[in-house]
Amino acid sequence: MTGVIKACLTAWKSYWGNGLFLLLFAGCCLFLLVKENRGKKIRLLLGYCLVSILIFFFPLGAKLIHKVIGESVYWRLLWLLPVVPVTAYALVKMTFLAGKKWLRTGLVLLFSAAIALTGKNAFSSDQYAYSDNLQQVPGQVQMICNLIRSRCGEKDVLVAANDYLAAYIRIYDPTITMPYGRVRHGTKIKEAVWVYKMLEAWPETDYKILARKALALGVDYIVTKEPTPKGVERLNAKGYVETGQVMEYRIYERQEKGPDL
Amino acid sequence: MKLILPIILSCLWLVLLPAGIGASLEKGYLVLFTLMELLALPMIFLQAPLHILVLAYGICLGALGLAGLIRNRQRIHENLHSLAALNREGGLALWLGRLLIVFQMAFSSLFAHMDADDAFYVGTAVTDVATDSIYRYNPYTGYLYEHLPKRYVLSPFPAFTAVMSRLCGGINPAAFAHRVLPPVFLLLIYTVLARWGNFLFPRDRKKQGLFLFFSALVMQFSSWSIYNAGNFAMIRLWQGKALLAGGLLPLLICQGLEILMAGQEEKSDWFFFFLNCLSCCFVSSMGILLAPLATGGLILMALLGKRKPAVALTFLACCLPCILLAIIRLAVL
Repeated sequence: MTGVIKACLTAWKSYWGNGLFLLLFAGCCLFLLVKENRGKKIRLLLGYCLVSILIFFFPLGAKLIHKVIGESVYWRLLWLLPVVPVTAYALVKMTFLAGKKWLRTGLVLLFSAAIALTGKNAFSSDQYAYSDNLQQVPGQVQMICNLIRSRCGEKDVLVAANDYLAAYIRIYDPTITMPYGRVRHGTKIKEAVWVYKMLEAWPETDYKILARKALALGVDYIVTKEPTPKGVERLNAKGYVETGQVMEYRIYERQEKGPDL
Repeated sequence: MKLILPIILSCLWLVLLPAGIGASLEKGYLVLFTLMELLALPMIFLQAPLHILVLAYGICLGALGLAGLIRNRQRIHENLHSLAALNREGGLALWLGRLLIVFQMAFSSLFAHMDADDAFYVGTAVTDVATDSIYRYNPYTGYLYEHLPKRYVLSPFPAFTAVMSRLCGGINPAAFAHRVLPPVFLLLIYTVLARWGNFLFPRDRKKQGLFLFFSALVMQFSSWSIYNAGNFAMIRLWQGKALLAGGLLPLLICQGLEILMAGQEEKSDWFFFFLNCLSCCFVSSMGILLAPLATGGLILMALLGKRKPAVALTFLACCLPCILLAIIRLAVL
């Protein structure tokens, strides 16, 4: 049981992060509880919040839910807590405690600053970037897909790339097939798993294994970060020849008449 | 550049159509999501092609839109009237809040958040359109599924993206998901928050305006953790789980509290609560768990606080589809 409670606490901490927003939210709840506790509506709202927190920390329920959805996403249960409405509600209530208009304006400014300081801008550069392609996939993905298409035309192609690229390639061009997909969720084939592992192991990639397994799968293009000269040799030996470069990635195309396995 | 107009028109269509069907945006979307769940699920299992789903959904939307406009004329008129009153009396905070919301909508469409989960969610929509199928091809590889993805198949939200991208003039589904859905769903979320404002401050437009402003500000600064509902809604609203966290669950709670507060519940309140339970299941597999949990909290409130067993039983009945889907997910698939 202690393990379950610990997991709940970890999920609780993950949800609230390291910022001070939890303090703002707790302060808002406390204000409603102490100052505004007479209304039926407020009691219902706070009662619901309390019930959802109890559901979250209820050990038996938590144990069951851990089994169903997994411990790693247990924090999603806190989506049941109406954080935005409760915070905004309490702040409006506090603002209107002031009688004078100038004082209310001051409070609105103060609370706005409190929200900004305890939170973090959702539109920051670490979360959003400008994308010049309509599909909003990383620029490298667009260039790699266009390069491959320019080489092979409308033909069906099988492309192996690292995990980062694999997540977006089929969003940009769904006619491309891939041996494994994101975090190799798409396959159980041993060779495909090997190709995935080798591309993820860069710069320690064993290009001999990579080229052999890729050839066995019939991979037409291998997209890898710059290989060592020996790695290039091994790729070439199996018929994969560099056909292009996109930023830090090199694209190797399988030649029709490659050497035998 | 040439797609700016189709994107703007698609956004307008995705606001006006549900608003016409349900007399308000959030009710309209509950109808749209429920309808898609009811149509898509059997078609997935019957391996129907996507164009059949597009056709069936399009016809239903056309009929519902027309019926909604005729039936809800009065209510739409009343809603517009109440919006006009809010405009007059909402004060400066309301306009600042709206300005912030418009900025958020524009930003979410113009700028990109790269999320690897798209490999499945957007990948499925794109693959479905490219192969004219529904959940038959693995979006990670492009090959036929050996088994249906049991974790996701009961919540076919990507099918909604695929179908609506077709119904919006054939916009690329990835572009549709990233450029059209976020601003529209942000508006939906703020409609839900406005409903909270109306519930918490009935008839007090000034406080409702300030409530909307503070809500928009909390959403704007919601990246205090990557896991919270606000952050999900602000950065990846084209994924069903973000819509669940930021829009549908808050709506479900608000609907439940409204029912608990009301002396006499209206049948339509229960109907839309029921639709929301199904919609939660539709947008994300987490909804199959979270909607009954939220309803469970409301049932406890009904039993402990208000001592209304009939209300508690009706809540339970409303989330029966979620329970049924959970059983199918755990025991059958």
